Amino acid sequence: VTDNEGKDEPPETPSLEDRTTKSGRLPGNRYVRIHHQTEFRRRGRHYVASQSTLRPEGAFGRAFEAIRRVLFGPPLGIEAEATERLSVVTGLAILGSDNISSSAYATEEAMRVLALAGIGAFVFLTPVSLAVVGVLAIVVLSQSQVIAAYPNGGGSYVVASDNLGTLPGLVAASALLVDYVLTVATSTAAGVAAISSFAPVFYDQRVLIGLAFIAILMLGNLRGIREAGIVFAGPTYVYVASIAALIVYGIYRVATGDIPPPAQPPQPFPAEGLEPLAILLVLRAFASGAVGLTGSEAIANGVPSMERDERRNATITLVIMGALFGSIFLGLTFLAQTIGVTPDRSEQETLNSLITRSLVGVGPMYYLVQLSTAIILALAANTGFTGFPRLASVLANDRFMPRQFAYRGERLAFSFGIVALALVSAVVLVAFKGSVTNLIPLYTIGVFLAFTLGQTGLIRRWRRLRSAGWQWRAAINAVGATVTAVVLVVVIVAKFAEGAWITLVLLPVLVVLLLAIHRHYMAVQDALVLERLDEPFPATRPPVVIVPVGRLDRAAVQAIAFARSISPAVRAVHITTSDEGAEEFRERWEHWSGKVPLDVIVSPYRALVPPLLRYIDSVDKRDDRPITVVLASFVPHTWWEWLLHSQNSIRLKAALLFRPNTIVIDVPYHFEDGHGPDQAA
Amino acid sequence: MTGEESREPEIPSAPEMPSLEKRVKTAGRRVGDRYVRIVRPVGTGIRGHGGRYVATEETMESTGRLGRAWQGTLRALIGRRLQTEAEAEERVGVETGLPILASDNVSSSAYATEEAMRILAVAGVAALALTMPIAIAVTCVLAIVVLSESRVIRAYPNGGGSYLVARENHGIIAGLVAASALLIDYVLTVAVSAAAGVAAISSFLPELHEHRVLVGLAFIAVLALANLRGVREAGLLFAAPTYAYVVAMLGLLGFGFFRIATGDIPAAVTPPDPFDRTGTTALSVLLVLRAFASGSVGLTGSEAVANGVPSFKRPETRNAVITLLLMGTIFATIFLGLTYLATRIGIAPDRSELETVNSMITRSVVGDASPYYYFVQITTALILMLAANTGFTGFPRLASVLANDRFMPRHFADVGSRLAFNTGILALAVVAGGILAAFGGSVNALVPLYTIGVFLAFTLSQSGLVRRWWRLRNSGWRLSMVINSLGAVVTGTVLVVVAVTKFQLGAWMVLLLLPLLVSLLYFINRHYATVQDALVLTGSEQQLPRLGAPVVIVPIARLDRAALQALAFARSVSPHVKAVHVSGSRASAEEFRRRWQRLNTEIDLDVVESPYRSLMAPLLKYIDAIDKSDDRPITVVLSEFVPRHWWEWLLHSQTAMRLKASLLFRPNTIVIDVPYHFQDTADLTSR
Repeated sequence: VTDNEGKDEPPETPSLEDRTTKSGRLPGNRYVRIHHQTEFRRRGRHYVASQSTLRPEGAFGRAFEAIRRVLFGPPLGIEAEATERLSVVTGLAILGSDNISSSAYATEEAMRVLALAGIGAFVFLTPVSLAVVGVLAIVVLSQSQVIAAYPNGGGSYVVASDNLGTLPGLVAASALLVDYVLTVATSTAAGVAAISSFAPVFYDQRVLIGLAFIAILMLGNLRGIREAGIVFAGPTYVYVASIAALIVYGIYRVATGDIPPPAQPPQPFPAEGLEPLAILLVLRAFASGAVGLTGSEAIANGVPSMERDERRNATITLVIMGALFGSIFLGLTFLAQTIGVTPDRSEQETLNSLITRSLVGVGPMYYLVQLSTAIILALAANTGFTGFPRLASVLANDRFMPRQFAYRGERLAFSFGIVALALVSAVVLVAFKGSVTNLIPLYTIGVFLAFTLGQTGLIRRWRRLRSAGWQWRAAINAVGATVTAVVLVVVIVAKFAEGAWITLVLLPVLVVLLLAIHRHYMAVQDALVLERLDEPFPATRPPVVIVPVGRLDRAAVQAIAFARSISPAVRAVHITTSDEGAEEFRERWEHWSGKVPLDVIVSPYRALVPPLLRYIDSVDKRDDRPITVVLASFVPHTWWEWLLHSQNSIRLKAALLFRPNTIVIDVPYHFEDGHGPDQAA
Repeated sequence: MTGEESREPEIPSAPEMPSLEKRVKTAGRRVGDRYVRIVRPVGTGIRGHGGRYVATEETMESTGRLGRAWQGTLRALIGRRLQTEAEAEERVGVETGLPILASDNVSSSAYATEEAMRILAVAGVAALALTMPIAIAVTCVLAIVVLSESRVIRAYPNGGGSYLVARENHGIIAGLVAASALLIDYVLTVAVSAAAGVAAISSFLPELHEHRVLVGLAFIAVLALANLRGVREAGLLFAAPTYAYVVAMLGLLGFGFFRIATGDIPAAVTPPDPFDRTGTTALSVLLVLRAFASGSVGLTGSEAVANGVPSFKRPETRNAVITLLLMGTIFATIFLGLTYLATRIGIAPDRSELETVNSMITRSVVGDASPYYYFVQITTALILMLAANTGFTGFPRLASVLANDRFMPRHFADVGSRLAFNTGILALAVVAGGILAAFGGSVNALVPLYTIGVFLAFTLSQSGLVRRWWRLRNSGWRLSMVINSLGAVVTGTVLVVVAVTKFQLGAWMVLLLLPLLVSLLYFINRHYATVQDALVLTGSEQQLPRLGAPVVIVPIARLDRAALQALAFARSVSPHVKAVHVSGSRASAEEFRRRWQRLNTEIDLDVVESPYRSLMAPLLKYIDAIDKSDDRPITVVLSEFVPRHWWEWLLHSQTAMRLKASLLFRPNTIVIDVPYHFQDTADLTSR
C-alpha cells in the first residue's frame, strides 16, 4: 500500500475524472485532486459534450468540416429550436408559396378545357372559378379545424390514422409523400420552363438546370428552415405585390370603362369549338382548375414549425393564404373574361402573360410580373422540402419509415428526409426528362386523396367527441369530404390514361412497404424489449476463447495476451497445409514459452476458413459457454497496403458474423506500434 | 466443499479449457475405480486427437443452398479439390511436359522463317539466298541457349529460371530486372498468341474478324479455366494439337525432301502481292542484322522449360533436360527444314501479309486444295493459340517464386484447391485481356513489344552463370564458362539489335515499363520487410506478456436485450466496466438514468449530453478522454443487432458499424462486437 503513495491510483473503473492522491504534510493527511476534462462539462450527474468534441482531427477532416460549415452553417444546439421557428410573415412565404403560386396557372388550366367547346363555353369560367374558391374556402375552414385539433402537425396522416385507423392513415401518408416528390419535380420543371421561355439557350440543359435547382433547395433546407424562409420570403411577396397591383390596375380600367383590347395568343383555339359542351367537360374544367388547391395542406402539416402560439399563427397564415389565393385567382379570372383573353393552344404563352400584356403592354411591369411568377413557381418546390421531411419524421416516429428519418441533423433539420427527397425527385425529374406536361397528370391525385381522408376523419372525430357545435363542424367537413372526393374521382377519371395510373399503382405499393417496415420494427421491438428492468442480470461466466494463429509473431502474441486477460480458458488453433508445416509450427510453439494449449489442424485442401468454422462448431458443441474468437488483425498505414496482406481475418469475421452465440474480438496490431517500444527503449 | 473436491479429483484446468475432446469420467464398479472416456469429435469433418487434427473434405461443404450451387458450379468448371499430397501426381512427364512447356517455342517455327525473309526481301529476291545462313545462325544461338539452359536446370533444379540465376549471381536488382522482363513477356505471349490464333482462324472464317477482340478474350478465359483445373489436365488438353503440328510439319518436310531428292522440284507458288524483284534498299550489314533479329523470334519460349523444372516428374532435372533437348531439336528441324524448302523452291514472302510463307510452301509441295494443306494450316492455327499457354504456365510460377521472396503480394504464392496458383492465373488473364483489348487484338501492334523481355532475361541469366562458374570453379568450369559467355554475348547482341530496330515500333513501351515494374517489386519487398521487422518475435519476447483485465467501455443507445447481452459479456471479461450513453437532450438523459437505476447491476454509467445531436464525435472524444486518464488498453464492447435479411440493414442505423470503422485506426483500442441475432429470440418466443 505504501508503494502506491504519491503515485496516481488508477480507479478500478475507468472515469473521466483523473484523481491524483497526494499525501499531506502531516502523516496520514491525503489530498485528492480531481482533474476534469475540458471537452466534457459536468452538469448534475451528466456530462455535456461541448462543441469542441465535434471538431475533427487531421487536416483532411478539418478541411471537410470547414466546407460543411460554410455550406450548412455552424451546428445548432437543441435549445435553438424555438428560435428556428417561423413567424406569420416567413411562414406564409414558406408554407403558403405552393398554394399561392398555383394562381399562376389555375385560371389557364380551367379555360384550356372549356376552350375545347368554343368561346361560348367561357361563360362557365366564372362559375367554375367560384366553385374552386368555394372548395378552397371549405378546405381552409376544415384545415383550420385540423390545426386546432392536432397542433403537433402531421396533417391528413395524423387525422386519418387517428380517426379512421392505420390503413387510411397510411394511404393518406403515401399519397402525400408521392405528392411532395411530384411537387418538387413539377415545380422545378415549371420554374426552369419559365426561365427558358425568356432565355431559350437553357432549353437543352433543362434537366441539368433542374437538378442544380433541386441541389440548391436541398442545401438551403439543410441549413435549417429559418434561413430558408429568409431566402424564400422575397420572391413570394414580390409576386403577390406585382399581381395585386396588376389586378387593381385592371379593375380600375374596367371600372372607368377603358377596357383594353385582348392580346392575341400565338395560336388561338377555334372559336366554334371542337367538342360539344357537356356536363363532363365542365367537370373536367373544374378538376383542372382545382389544381389551385394543391399546397393548401402544407400549413396544417407544418404547425410545429410555427412560432408560439403555434395554433393561432398557423390559422392566421392559413386564412391569409386562402384569401390571397382566392383574390388573385378570382381577379385574374375576372380580368380574363372581361377583356376576352383566350388561352394559347400551343402552350407557348401563358394566360397570365396575355392578361399582363393586354393591360400594361410589354414594359418593365410585364417583366417584373413574369420574372416573379417564374421564381415563385420554382420556389413552390420548397413546400415539398418543408412537408416531406416533416411527414417522414412523423412516420418514422410511428415506426412506419426507417428511423433515420426522425433524426435531426446538426442544424436541426431532418437531414435524411431532405436528402432522400432531393434524390428521389431528381430521379423523377430525369426520368420524365424535365417535362411539366408529362408530370402534371400524376399530380393533384395525392392531395385530394389526403384531403378526402382527412376530412372524413374529422367527421368521425366530431361525432365521437360531440363537443359544443359538433353538428355544425361535422356538416362543414361532410361538405368538404364530398366535394374533395368528387374532385378526386373527376381527376382520376379525366387524367387516368395520361399518367394518373402511375400514382394509383404506386400508392398501394408504398402502403405495403410502410406496413412491412412497421412489422419489422415491431418484431424487433418485441425481441429486444425488456419487460422488467429489474430482472436478474445475465450470468457472467468467462467465455471460451479461441485464438486462430496464422504465424507466431507480435500480432499473434498480442492477441493471445489479450485473450488471456479476459478469460482463463484460451486455446490457440493453427491451420496448416501439410504435416511438415504442422510439426514445424508445434515445435516453434513449444519453444515459445507462452503456455497456451494449441490445436493444429492440417487442411490438405489448403482451405482456411471452412475447417476453422467446423472447428469452432465442434468446440461449441462440447461447451455451453459462449464462444469468443479473438483475431489478430494487422492494420497497415495506408489503404493500398491492404492489398499486400491476406484478408483472412476479414473473411473469418464475415463468416462468423452470422454464427449465433459467437463473439468476435478484433485485436488490431497497428503497424506503427512495432516501432514504439523499440524507440522508447 | 473440500469433500466434494476430493471426490472429483479432476485435472483442474481441464474443464476450463475448450477442447475438441471431451473427457467423460465414470465411476467403476469397485470403489476407487474410475474410467475416463475420451470422446473424440465425430461427424464434424475433423479427424484426429491430441491437439493434432486433419480437416477432411467434408469441412468444406457449404451448408446453404446458394453456397452449394456455387460450389457445384466451381466443381464442374474447375474440378474436384486436390490434396497437397496429390502434387506429385499432378506433375508432368516428358511427353506431356513437351506440349505444355515447349509449345511456345515449337510454334515459333510457324513464322520465324517468314520474319527473316520479310526483312531480306526488301533488298531484292537475290538477298533471299541469305535466309539459310541466317537460319543456321539462329539455330546456333538456339543451340547455345539450349546448352546454357540445360546448365541452368542442373544448377537450379527448383525452377525460377533467369530470375533466380540473375538474383543469385548479379544481385537483387538484376534479378528483379530479369523477373520484370519475363513477367512482361509472359503477358505479351498470352496477348500475342491469342491474337495470332484468332487471326489464323479468321483467315478461314472472315466473319469472325469484326469480333476478334471478343473471341480473343473468350480464348483467354478458356485458357485461364483450363489452367485453374491444374497443370496435368491442361497438359492433356494441349498435347494433341502440339503433336499434330509436329507430325504435320515433319510429314511436309519428308515429302518435300523426297521430291527434291528425286529431282521433282515443285514449282514455287507466287504470293498475292510479291516484293519488288530488284529490291528497294541496298543489302547492308544492318539489314542482315535486322533479318537475324527478326528470325530470332524463334527463340522466344525456350526459357519456359528451365523455369518450369519443379512441375516435372521425378527426376525433375533429367526430365527437364530431355524435354529441353527435344524441344530444341524439333524446333531446329522444322525451322531449318522449312527454310531449306523455301529457298530451294524459291518462295518469296507476301508483302501484304495475306498469305504466310508456310502456307505457300505447303501449297507448292502438296498442292492447293489437298486435305493435307488444310491439316497443316489448322494444326498451325491451333498450336499458335496454344502457345499462349506457356504464359499461363510461366507467369503464375514465376509470380509464386517472387511472392515467396516477398517481391509480389503473398496471394500469388497461395495454392488453390486444384493445386494451381489461382491468383497468378487470374491476374495474368485479366492483364493480358486488358492488353488485348487495348491493342484492338492486332498482332502487328503487339509483336514489337515482344522478344525484348526474353533476350534481356537470357543475357542476365547467362552472364549470371558466367559469374557462377568463375566463383565455384568446379570441374569443367572453363568449358561451361565459355559456353555461357558465348551465350551472353550472342543474346546481348540480339537484345541490342532488337531494341534498336524495334524501338519506335513499340519497344520503348517495354523499356519504359521495366524500371516501373522493378521499382514496384522492390517497393513491395520493402513493405513486407518493414512489416516483418515490426512483427517478428525477438529473443527477449519469449514470454507471454501478462495483461491485467482490460478497461471496458460499453456504449449503449437503448436499454434493451441486446444492450444487456453486451453488458453481461463486458462484465464476464473484466471487472472494470463503464457504460456510456449519449443523449440528445437533458430530459432524455434524465430518463435514461432513471431507467438505468432500476437495472439490477452495479455497473457504472456515464451519460453524455450532446446538444448538437451528434453521436459519434462525442463518443470518440469520450473514449479519448478515458484513454488519457488511464494507461491500460481501451476495450470497447459494442452490441450489434444482426437482422435476418440484408435489406433489413437499411432499417437500422449502422451506428455500431460506423463506430467500429472509426475505432479501427485508433491505436491501442480493441473492439468487441457482441452480435444480437434477431433469429434467436424469434425462435425463443416460438418455443
